[in-house]
Amino acid sequence: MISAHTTTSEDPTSTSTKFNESILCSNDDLSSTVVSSVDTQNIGLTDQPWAVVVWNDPINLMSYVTYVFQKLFGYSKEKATKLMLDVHNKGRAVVSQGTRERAEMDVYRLHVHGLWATLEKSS
Amino acid sequence: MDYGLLWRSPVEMKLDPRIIPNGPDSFEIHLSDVERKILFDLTDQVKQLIEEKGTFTERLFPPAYLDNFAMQHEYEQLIVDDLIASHQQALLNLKATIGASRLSNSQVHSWLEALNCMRLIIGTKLGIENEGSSSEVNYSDTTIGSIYLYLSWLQEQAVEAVQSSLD
Repeated sequence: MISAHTTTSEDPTSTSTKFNESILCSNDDLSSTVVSSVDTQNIGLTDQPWAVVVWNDPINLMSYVTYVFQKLFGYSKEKATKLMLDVHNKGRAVVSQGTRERAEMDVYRLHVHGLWATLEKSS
Repeated sequence: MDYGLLWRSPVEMKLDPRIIPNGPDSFEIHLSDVERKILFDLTDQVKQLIEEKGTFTERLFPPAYLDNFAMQHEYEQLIVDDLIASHQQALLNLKATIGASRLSNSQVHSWLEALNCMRLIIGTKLGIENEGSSSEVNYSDTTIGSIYLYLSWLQEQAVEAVQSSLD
């Protein structure tokens, strides 16, 4: 995660910026994924506790990650900031735990907000 | 298109705040016409990329399971349409209110999601792959890099603006 207060080395004498193309002009599709068999390891895992893990990434702002933790989980500013710093300093943090269904929903909500979240069985 | 501006870091340029709380559930918006135009154009471009799950959108569709292919496939099949719709709705909400001088709390939240979609795609396009790399990128001749900094600055303001509603 990063702070928003980043500077540039842009030429201060320049007075205009030409911008004749789409900023995001590429439309290549991602490769599709095909499953060829059912993973039988899934059977029986729904009752076990699952942990929702948020991973560090270099684009999401630290303040935004804190905001998302507060908004989605109702955490205090202090708790949300501590979790954000764990993500930032340790690379990951467990932000919630529960059934697989609950954890999957939390992961989905984090994905809606653009955070890199996964779920895994609690140790 | 000529946006007619030099985009350095907004912090460096000491720009005035753009999103100012002015009461319960009310925020003043002070964007220039150029800023509104940039956000408007970006909204359409990002929306199209998300719809196609095109290049640079992978950060908007991260895996939920790292070590279970079948579960990941099941999750992806289950949520991908909703996830696309959610990202696009945030962008549409931003587009619908881009000319507004005041926003509600929920509208600022929606702006935050839309701005983050833009930043994730542009950051990916810029090749920001590790901590600190954003400050190492040479933005001297890249409009997109300057726009990325602008979006970061604006998003930071939006977070600060809605903070009181979260405490």
